[in-house]
Amino acid sequence: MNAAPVERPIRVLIAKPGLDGHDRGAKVLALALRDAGFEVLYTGLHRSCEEITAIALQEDVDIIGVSMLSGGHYAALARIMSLLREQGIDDIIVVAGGFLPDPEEIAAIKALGVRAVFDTDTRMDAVIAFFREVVRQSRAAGTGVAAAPRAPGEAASQ
Amino acid sequence: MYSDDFIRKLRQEAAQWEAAHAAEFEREQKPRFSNDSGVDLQRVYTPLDLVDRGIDYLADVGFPGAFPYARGISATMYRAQPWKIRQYAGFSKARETNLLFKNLIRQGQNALSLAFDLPTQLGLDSDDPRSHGEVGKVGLTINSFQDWETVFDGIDVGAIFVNSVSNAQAMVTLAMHVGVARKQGIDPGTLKGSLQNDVLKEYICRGNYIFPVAAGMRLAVDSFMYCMEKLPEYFPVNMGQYHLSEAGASLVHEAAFGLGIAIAYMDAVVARGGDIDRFASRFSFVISQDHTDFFGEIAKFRAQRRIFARTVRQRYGANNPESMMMRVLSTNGGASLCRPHPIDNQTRNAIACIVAALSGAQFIGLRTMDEVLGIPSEDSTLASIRTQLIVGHESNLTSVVDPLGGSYYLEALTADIEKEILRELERIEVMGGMVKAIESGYVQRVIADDAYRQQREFEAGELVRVGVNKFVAEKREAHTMKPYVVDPADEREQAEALAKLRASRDAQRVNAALDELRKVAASDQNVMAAVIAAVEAYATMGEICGALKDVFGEYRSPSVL
Repeated sequence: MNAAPVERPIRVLIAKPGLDGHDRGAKVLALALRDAGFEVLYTGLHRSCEEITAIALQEDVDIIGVSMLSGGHYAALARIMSLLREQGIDDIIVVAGGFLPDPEEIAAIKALGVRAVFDTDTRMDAVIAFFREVVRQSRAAGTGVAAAPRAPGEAASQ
Repeated sequence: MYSDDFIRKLRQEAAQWEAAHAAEFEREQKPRFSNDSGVDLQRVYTPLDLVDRGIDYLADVGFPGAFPYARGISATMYRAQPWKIRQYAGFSKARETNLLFKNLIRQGQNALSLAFDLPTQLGLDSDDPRSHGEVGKVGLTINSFQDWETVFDGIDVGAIFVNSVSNAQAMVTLAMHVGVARKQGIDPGTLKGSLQNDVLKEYICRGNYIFPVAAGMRLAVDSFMYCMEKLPEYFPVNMGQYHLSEAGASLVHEAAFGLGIAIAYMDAVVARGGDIDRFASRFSFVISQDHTDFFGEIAKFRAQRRIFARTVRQRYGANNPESMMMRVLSTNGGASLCRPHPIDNQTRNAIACIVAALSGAQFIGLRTMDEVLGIPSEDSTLASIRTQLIVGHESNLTSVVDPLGGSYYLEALTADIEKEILRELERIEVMGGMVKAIESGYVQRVIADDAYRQQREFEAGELVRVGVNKFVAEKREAHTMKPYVVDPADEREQAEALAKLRASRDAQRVNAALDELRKVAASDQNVMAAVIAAVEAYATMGEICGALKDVFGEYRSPSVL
């Protein structure tokens, strides 16, 4: 490893867009990331995509993890990705998590540039490992859109 | 309960038994057995465990249908009346829901439960920009009284028990049910039903709040007071304790926080001059009965009944025995179900049903095996109804009241769990009550920590899910279940229907009703009459909640972890 001796901890924003009120998974993952040495921010519930994007920029996060259990992923992620693009942001990695039973929807979400889709079966250590790897690659390449490692959640999903 | 002689002899024999089998004990699979609340479980229980815990049969256990109701609130339990089957159901459109309900009634369901989409639960109309992408996704859309009329078209609301899973806007759905009774020519005073109407837990975990905590409490108490006065058969609150469990709360935390919320409502009603006997005798709980801790769950129900009875009698001086009886809708949680093999979830459902029946539940709801894939199909809802009927009618489980009562294990476990619940309740009391404990974030933190611990245990393989983290099959079974799919055109259709309604109704009457509602909300009068008038004028859900937001503002959830 030829990384700087003190590397900035990975900063993650766990975001809850839309009206869905289920945040058990969001909080569990936030606690797990924190224990693993990440800096974690949580938006709280019912945030607009505009608010989420603004917090992500203001807090200079490496990753936005968008959590939804109600099935409204596509609309929210499309909005977040387009807000980031409009502001010329290409170094924030966006991932999605939650209840995503439809493979076609997963494919459509990934086509938006969302780097990984983690279903409710995903293990915490798998997410942690993915975040470390994707940020390592991104920092090495100086961009968030470097070739992604395979998301571990996908192996577990149908 | 036992003679000193007998106890001395029993202690001797127990020690001998331990010594004789010590080598076998070494081979047990783990050094310590416990439940999710950290309560230690012994290898075996004997009468010594009752003696050592100071359990007094007459004072602490007693008889079914008698104080302190540990053995259940009915002397005859299922010998006289089977539990009521209550499956949570609701498709996105009022007309489809109406047809589903008619079918469920024909299949033997005698109580209906309405599930709403998120915009409806948050008091937003389908054409509100914030509703985009969520209309009809997780349940029925109710934009106005018109939708409620459609849901109950051809269904006699005077003859069926109807539960509404509405909370922050419960006063609006209550008003709609009163309105539909009037339209059908039924005296609303005879309506049977219940509202979840538990706004406090929304701030803890379910997230479907609208107004700030104090305003949310005031509106809830307004609807409680209205029901107590006008709808004597109605259950104005069905405390949603199960949601705490779904969010991750251990069974001790679930019961303690559930009781803490119940106490907060009872305190508020008494402070408004409400009669405790009238309120507590109509109070009910939704309690979780997952298959994941068979005896722990049953002990939880028994311990909680005992605490509820004693609290209502001692804290409020209630006199009516009905007030001290903890009525329960018992339902297992989706969090205990698994995705790789959805059919296996019906086994989990069946175990959960047995737990609920052995716990003395008045109503039982089961999950549906395919809800891990989306909104449940009608077939899976019917399968869960049949699972309940099989447990209730094929197993002969129902012939004896509280068949597990008197088990050394269960009575000892009930006492152990009761002690832990009381300790947590004391902690909340010291914090100034449940509202304070919620506002400080304490309750949310405790539950998040519980959820995190469970996830770690699951990933470590200590908490087993067959087919998921143990006995994992090479490949997932193909299944033919097709969950209900929401038509994306629904949102547009709902918006068109709203536009039509707004164009056809008496706008002056709507505006006058909404103005009156704002005025009443700003005063200390009960809002219910004004909400009913607004509903009957066909003001929409969004307009009614919007008028109340003008007065109270909106709650914003904290972003702290």
